[in-house]
Amino acid sequence: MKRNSDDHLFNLAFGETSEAERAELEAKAATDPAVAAKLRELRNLKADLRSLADVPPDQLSNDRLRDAILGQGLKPKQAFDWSWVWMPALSCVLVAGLMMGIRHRQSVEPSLVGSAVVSLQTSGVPLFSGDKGGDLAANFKPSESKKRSEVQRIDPVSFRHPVSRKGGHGRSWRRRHGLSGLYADVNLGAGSGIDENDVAPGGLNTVSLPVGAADARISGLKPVDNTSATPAVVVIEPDKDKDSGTQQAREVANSKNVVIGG
Amino acid sequence: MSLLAANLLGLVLTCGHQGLGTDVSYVHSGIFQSARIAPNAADPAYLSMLPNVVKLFEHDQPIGIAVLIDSSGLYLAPKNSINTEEEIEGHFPNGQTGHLRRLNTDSLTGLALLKSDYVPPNARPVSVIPADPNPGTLLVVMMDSGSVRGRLDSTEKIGIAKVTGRLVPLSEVRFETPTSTLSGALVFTTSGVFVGAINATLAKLPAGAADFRAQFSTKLSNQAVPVGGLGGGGAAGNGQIADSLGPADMTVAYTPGVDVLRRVVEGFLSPSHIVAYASLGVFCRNGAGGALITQVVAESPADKIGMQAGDMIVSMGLYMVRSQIDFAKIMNKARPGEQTFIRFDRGGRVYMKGVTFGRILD
Repeated sequence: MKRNSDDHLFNLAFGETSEAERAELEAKAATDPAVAAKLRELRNLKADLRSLADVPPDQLSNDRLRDAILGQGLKPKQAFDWSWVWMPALSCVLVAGLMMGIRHRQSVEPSLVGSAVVSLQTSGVPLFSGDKGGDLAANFKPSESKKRSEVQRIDPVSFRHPVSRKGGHGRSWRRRHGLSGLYADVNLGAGSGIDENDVAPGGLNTVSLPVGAADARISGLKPVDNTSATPAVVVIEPDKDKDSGTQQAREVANSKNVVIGG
Repeated sequence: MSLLAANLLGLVLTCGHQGLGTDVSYVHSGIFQSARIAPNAADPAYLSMLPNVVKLFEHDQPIGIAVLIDSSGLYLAPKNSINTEEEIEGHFPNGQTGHLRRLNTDSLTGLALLKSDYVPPNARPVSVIPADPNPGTLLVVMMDSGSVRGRLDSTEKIGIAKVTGRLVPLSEVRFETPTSTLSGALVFTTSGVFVGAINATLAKLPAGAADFRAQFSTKLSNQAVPVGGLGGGGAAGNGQIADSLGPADMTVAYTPGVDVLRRVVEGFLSPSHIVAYASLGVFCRNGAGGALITQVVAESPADKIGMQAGDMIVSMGLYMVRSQIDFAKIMNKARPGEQTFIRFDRGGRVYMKGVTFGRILD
């Protein structure tokens, strides 16, 4: 009932009642202070709404309000936009990293042997079941793991002699650095018969290998001094020394002819 | 007085040999035939480590010592001191006797794993030194009869087991030549950290050995080294270990490198007690810019990817192979089951294949 009365008062305040209703409600407001107060409140609301309606429509959104302010000659405080900074900053970091990487690569010896072995993943381990004698073959037992495919031949695309080209090293430079001779362009990419197990992470494409001196070309650094690759080794003989009771050791100055099993 | 005379006699003999320009004093082994020293059973370092070792006997004859590596009764010993497959008699420092049985051996390092049902209450498992000690580090070589002083000379020696052809990194140790056999000798730092086991002695001293001996001869003549402990390991009269070697002659011996030693201990302490090494299944020698394969083991990983005798390995993974030693170093770091790619040259053509390392069990 009260709700119905409020609706009538609302209609009265906004001029949406008939003459009969208007006369009845105003008479009621004249006798009832509460009704009069409510009617007064609603009429004030109408006045407020009217003043709101006086705000130009183009100022009712932030963008339009900003445009309106600018139109009056006022300038908002300029906030610095950082969103574009990361791109040139990232570019600088990448360039610096690349330069440092190149310098580091040039200062490192080409051989990383002995540091670690690249481990890709582990599965089906073939098993050697003994190593107690010299006949390694006799002690080898085949694995239960699945057979791998037969060797797939990687045919070099072509052989070529190094030629001087614009911007590259000349023949004399390559001869000085041991890179002269025949090169083999080895295609390690798609269609070369290599399955996914054959290619390093990141993939390899064509590699130019000087035949017989592949190390130097691959490393891009100084050629290999093969004499340093045959260091002195200590050969542990199976026979016991009569005096010490231990196995005999023998130093071999050059390991060139030492047979290694692995 | 007689002691000094005996040492001077040894010096005279030494100088005499050098004067003749011969190596007669060490023709057959790295142990000089003169001026030996008795192991010191009163060495404090020896005594501090004694509770953690057991003396091994065969037919009532001492054959060496074993050191506790796990409180469950697992002992490590050089296997070249053990001649039997049966149980070995053990004499513990507290007077107890027991039997130890061999659980496994590692042919690469010449170490054996023994299991004892008895462990003295005050025995503590030793720890393997975490990293290569610096050359010059003072060492204690423990035998069943005592210890002698030693010094680490190098941790970068490359050893090749002639039978298997496998590479084993070695530490070179020089120590005073004991009067007793070195079979079964263990090497510790003076603080009791396990460094290795003597598995071989040099059959002929390398170049510079004469200078090395002359160094000690000079010290002897200058009396820079206390000699009162002769018969007590060359220790100083107060039983302390001197920080220099001599006056006895020197033995050059080898122990497995620290890395491989740790690998062996880890394998022995695993539930299977197995030490596994990666294998490709080839034998090779040095080639022109690579490791030239001389033999491929049938059904090995190398065989399965089609490698043949005559192929030359030029790289493995990201690492170049310039010689068979490089190949051995890579294999030494590899683990069974790891996959890598291998590049090899066959008649001027380059092949590249993925391969999974097999394993060699002892």
